Amino acid sequence: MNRRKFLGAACACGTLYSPGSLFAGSLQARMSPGFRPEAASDENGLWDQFNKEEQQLKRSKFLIRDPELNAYIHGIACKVAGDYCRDLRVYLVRSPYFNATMSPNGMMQVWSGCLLRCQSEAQLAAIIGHEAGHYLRRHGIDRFHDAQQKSALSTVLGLGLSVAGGARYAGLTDALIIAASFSFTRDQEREADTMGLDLCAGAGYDPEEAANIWAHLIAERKARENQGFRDLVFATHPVEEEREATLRGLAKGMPGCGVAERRGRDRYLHMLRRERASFFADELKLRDYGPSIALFEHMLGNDKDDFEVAFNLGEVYRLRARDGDDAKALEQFDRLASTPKAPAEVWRSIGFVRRARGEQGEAAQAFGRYLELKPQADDAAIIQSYMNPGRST
Amino acid sequence: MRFVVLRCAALAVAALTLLPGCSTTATQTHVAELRRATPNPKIVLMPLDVELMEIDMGGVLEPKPEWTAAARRFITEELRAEKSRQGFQLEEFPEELQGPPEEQELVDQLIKLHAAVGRAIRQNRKPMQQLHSLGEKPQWSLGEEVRVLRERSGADYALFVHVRDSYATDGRKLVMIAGAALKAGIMGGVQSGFASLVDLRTGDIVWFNQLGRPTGDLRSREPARETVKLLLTEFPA
Repeated sequence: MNRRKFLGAACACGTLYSPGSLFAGSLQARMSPGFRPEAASDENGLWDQFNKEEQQLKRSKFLIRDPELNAYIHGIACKVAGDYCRDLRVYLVRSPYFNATMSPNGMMQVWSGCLLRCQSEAQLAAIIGHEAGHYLRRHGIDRFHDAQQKSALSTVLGLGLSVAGGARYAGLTDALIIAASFSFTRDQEREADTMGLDLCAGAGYDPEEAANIWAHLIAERKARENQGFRDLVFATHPVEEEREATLRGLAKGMPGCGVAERRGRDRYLHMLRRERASFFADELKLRDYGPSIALFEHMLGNDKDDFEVAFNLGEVYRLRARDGDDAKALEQFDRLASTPKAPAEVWRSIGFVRRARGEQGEAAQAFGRYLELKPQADDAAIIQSYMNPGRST
Repeated sequence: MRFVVLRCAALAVAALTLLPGCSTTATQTHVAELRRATPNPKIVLMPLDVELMEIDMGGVLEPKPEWTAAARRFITEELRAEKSRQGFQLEEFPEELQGPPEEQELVDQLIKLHAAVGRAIRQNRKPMQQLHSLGEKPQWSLGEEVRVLRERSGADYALFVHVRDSYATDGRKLVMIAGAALKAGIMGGVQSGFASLVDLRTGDIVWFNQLGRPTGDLRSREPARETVKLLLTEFPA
């Protein structure tokens, strides 16, 4: 199938698709729609393993089962992957980290941390496009063959070195070979980035959104207190800076680049509305405050009136509780408390911060307001005890 | 993707001849015989956790679904034969449960837990690696959640079988020979696994047997029979 035909097919169900958006891409799918590996092949063995995994994933309690959200995200995968839509099965997995995975058999996992971080349908489409790229380019079996070749080389080299009396260098050659296999996976990631970008632009999405995700992830990484050790030789993926720059460069030449109407932000956030509270709760449980603050401020930058984000930003400061964090938390909570859409929990949090400051009167007032709004709250008894500290047992 | 490049000097000679001396089974038994509340105690056979693979020249394991399917068939048939010989009731747990997802997941998780506990038992038996705080006869258990299996099947015990079996390609055999000549032990295929009998009232493992040897074949009926017999050594019937 040629490139043009493939993209045409890929866009068949894209509502945002316009014929003018085709461009000269360089990568083609390495299979036809409905592909299944040959019965006795190693690829079939690989698929079989992942089919079993998939059976278990379907029963997992970490699966997000909201039918509307699943149907919506399946629809995005269809826009992006076109005729291959039926070959890809997207599973939403509750895990608060930014990640998505693609298995060789078409099982795609998108983690809740990724859904929370995406700020538009186009950004999620970029992730799905990247993962679809891995599938369409058959990276799973390539990686398996690469591992076979390189480990055979390592074994033969090891034996050869033994003969030549250089057995002590075997560790070095093995390290070089392992480094080469990491380099191989990084090249696959680059290819998946390029292919994903093609698919998204072809489906009518703003391709620059793919770069924007990475820009945000760089900001999050820089906000992390423990920067850790960044290993460039034994890394599975290229560094974020490279990915952002490459994607932005490629996106510039594509149709729809930077066009806000092609991002689908409102629709995306609307579809996420029922699940988002649990994503925030999981994010807070990470207790990795720097990146959470960076994320929530980034989200508020897009919409300063998103009260759910503002509340959670206040919560991060309240939980971190460093010098000055109480004021930053109250800044968010007080702003919310003055609006009619403030949830009752805002008052409870104000109570906690005031109580920690030793402002018992203000704390009791805020707790009172919380219980007034939510008299049946699970924690009503303990909140009540905070209001009357003298009488607590 | 897993790289498995094992170099084990102790196996250098064995790699060539696959000496039977390498074959090991070890049985740990807590009950001399099954609880006979009924004349024929009922055992439910859990979905078999069995994978057969091919180990290639460099040691990468390739899953072989057709071999695995044959092995599962042979093991099941042999366990049925054992049932009639030893006089217990054996019921096979349906592969695809028609229950709520939570219950299905519990079965998945128990099978994975069995694999983890079995590996811990095996580890604990190695010289210098025992956890002495567990005592002379450690009591291993899968926990009380197994009761769900009892409610569902009406069985007294569950039999869990975990086997990972690999076979060397010609390329692998070649480097094994070359390795042996150079006194560098290169592992070939390995048959490794264990079976446990679990009391469904308590979750306790009342009988456990492990298997670990460079021989054995589960791809055809006769050798598979031998493997199952070995796996069921001292089965408390």
